[in-house]
Amino acid sequence: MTTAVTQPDMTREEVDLPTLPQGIGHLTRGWGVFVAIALAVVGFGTYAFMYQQSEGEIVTGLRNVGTMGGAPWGLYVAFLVYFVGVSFAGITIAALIRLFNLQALRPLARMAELLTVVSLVLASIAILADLGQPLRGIVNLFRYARPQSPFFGTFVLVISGYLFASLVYLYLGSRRDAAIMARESTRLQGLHSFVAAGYTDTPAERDRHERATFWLALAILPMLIVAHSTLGFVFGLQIGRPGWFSALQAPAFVVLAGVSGIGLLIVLAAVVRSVCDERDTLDEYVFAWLGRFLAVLTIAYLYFVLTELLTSTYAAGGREADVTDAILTGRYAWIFWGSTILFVVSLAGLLTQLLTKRWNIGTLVAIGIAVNLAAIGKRFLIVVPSQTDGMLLPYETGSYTPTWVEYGVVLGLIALGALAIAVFMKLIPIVELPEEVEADAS
Amino acid sequence: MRRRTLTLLCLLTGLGLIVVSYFFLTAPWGSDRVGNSNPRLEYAPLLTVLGVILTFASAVVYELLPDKDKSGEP
Repeated sequence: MTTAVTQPDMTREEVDLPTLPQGIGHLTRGWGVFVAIALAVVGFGTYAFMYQQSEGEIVTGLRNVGTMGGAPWGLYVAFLVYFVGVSFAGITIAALIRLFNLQALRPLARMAELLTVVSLVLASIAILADLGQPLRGIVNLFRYARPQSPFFGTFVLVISGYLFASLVYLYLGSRRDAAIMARESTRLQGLHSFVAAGYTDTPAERDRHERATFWLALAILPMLIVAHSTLGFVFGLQIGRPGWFSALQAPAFVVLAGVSGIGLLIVLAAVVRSVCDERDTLDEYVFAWLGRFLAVLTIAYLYFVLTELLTSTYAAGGREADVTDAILTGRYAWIFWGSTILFVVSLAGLLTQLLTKRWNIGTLVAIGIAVNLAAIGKRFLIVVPSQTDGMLLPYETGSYTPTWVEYGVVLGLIALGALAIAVFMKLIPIVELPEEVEADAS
Repeated sequence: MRRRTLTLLCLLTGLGLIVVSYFFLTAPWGSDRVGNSNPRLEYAPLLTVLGVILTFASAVVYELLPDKDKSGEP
């Protein structure tokens, strides 16, 4: 049992305060340094965003298609798609664990839910950064959005429904652990009591929680498929944009979302395992399960890539062929081949471990990072080349190069996500507390 | 009983808001005619969002509503 209530190596608690599991409320020097760095990067991102708001989008690399020879959707939209993708795997894993009662994977549930909430918040900020007038965008979405537009599905289902559902899921799941920790007299007792909201862990409350989360999971699963598909339709339904108009966009979006999300979940689980000393609960079985799931999704995604490439190189003509050329042999080739190599090498690593039945967590973390870098590259390729090279009107080929402002905002968003997870880890157990801890605490 | 009633009320209100606002208050489904561009009621999409939020909030109502006698029975 690694999540013991007493941890003798912590000096502050030895004096008078009880020690909470998983280092809750215990601010270490390493954590402080991490938070300071993350805050600095968030500050830089905020400065970049404010600079963009003050000077206009002229300080970014974003330009109109055709007349200005650029791309109005660039890094922000690529990362919007990436963040929404990451959220997919988190809530999928959490819902599957509840629906199929996968007890061995329960330690993953809360961090998966947290990953979903954080990445959805980052996605909504990313799209706001893309708008020249963010406030106008928010107001007009609620005022005029048309239900037959994929944007309606994306923003109503993803940003409101999906985010709210995930928040509810995360909150209801955290009440039990908050109630357990609220029994201890610590500086966080008030917060834990507030989160617990009267929860006392009676059999009736447990039954109710099981029922509520089961139905929530059941409602979330179809909704998230619809939500991710509509994001794919934002691109896939645009008949006038070669490279985007494809029936494969929606399913490929869902599958790549799974790849990037599972990859990031592996990285987060490894960090939690190390930082919170959860080696017993987040054991090799958990990582092997994630590794197998990631291998299946990566194979499926590579199949989609191959199918798309065969179609676009075999029979495509005109601008469709121009986009494919730009991606395969032109100025975007290094991103395409770099991403593909990362996917293939990652798959080879996963299959090797699968066949030998020997899972190495360090290797899995490297694979998790690699597939995420590859996914970011693929998201960029989905968004940008069709705008610069896929025009049906007789314009010159355009170009897009992100500026420091865009890199700053995106880095700030990533740091904000890391910061949110780091702070959460110090407030609420990121791994569900086992029964024994509850017994000890009471 | 009170728990179930309030949960159902929240759930049905949410679902009702979604259906009514989505199908009857936002811009009508159909071709891209100008007449189909604007919502029939301004801020109808906001009602859809509120409906989605209410629907999922019913889970919170179901779990958070205190027991009358604190014995754990609904």
